[in-house]
Amino acid sequence: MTYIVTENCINCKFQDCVTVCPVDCFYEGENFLVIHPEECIDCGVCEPECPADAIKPDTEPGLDDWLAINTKYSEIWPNIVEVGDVPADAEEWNGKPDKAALLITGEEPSEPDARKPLYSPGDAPSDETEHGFEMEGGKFAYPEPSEGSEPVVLQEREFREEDGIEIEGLRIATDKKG
Amino acid sequence: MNAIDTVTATLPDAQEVLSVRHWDDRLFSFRVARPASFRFRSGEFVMIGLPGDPDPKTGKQKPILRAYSIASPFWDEELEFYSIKVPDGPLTSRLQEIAPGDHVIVKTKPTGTLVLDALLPGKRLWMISTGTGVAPFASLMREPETYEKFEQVILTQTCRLNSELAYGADLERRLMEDPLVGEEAMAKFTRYATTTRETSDRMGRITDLISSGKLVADLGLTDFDPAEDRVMICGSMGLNKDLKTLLEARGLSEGANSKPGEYVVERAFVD
Repeated sequence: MTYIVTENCINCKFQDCVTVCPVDCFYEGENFLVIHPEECIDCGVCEPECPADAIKPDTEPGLDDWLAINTKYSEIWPNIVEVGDVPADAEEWNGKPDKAALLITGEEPSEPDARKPLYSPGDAPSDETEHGFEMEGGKFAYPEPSEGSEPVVLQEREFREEDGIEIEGLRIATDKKG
Repeated sequence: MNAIDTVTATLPDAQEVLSVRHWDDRLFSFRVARPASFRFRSGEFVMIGLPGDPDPKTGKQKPILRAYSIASPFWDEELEFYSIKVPDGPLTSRLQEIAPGDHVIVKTKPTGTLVLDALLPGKRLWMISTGTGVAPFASLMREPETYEKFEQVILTQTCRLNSELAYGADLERRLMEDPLVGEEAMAKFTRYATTTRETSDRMGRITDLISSGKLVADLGLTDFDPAEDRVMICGSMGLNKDLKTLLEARGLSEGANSKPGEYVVERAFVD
């Protein structure tokens, strides 16, 4: 299990939790804090310290979405080890309903994930020069083969997702030495 | 130079082990040098540990750290810890082999809720523990402020076996001889130890003894009262939960550093 920060922290961000955490596992967004589930030692000291009662054990029902948010943004946001400025209107926000939509993640809304293929096999790529690489049977997207390697057709063993992309029975490795 | 000694060379938080005492095949306590400028409040815990095995790829040693209550008071020149031995525990399987002269990692960010600051003023302080949960109270029972703030101090410890109560019995003996608080402790301190499996003078789970009224009756007191009684709890998850229910039913509410209350809880850490 882990402890996680939930909705009522949004726009409050009192940070009493940061002072008491023995392993400094809090991470700071613009109007919210998260706990890194892998770093939290479940000591529970932060839970009663939160003036907004926003910290919960993830064993409580109905918190899956918040666990996902803590897991994701603790990998992206910076670590916080000392209390910074508490929002001047923190008390006014404490306990307000439906704050989830106000969460500022700091992410560009449509940033493409470079690790995923930009288009599906069979699709004609719209930008033929910038993305993808030539293969027998069509043009394919990221990840490109690294320098000095050739895409290979895997025939000897069962195809695995991390091998690359699969198109109509062809198994194409994208980052293996040919 | 053995594996544990190499800590000094690689880690800035390493502290020298000064003494080790094994209480039985499952429990031991040890004292280490206190890091320079290390401050804490009696009752707090800190992360301690040993370097882990080097990563086969990078060769980097990531320390194995666990939360340990400091079992000595804030004024002590050394730090004491009380630990269980878990045969296949990542840390305690190795920690139990430390000897004087070895080094352990002591991080310097103490924290915790079992502190006097988290309790409202009251007449009587109860420190309720199971097993190694007695450790933070080993600190608080030698803290002068405990006796300034409370007229009566009661430590309960419940274990399965008599041998598991030996450390607590020794704490009581040392307390009475303590030059700083011994005299006050003699007048105010009571230790109430029970076993749940092995036969002893006092038997039973502390929750049952509270529910039945036997605990307070044995001490010549009446039931927990939010006006007078303050409670610190350090035990297993199950015990902590059951005690919270019992105390809330009697009108006591949970405190924290940011908002003192009538009782505080901390999990007794295990490997």
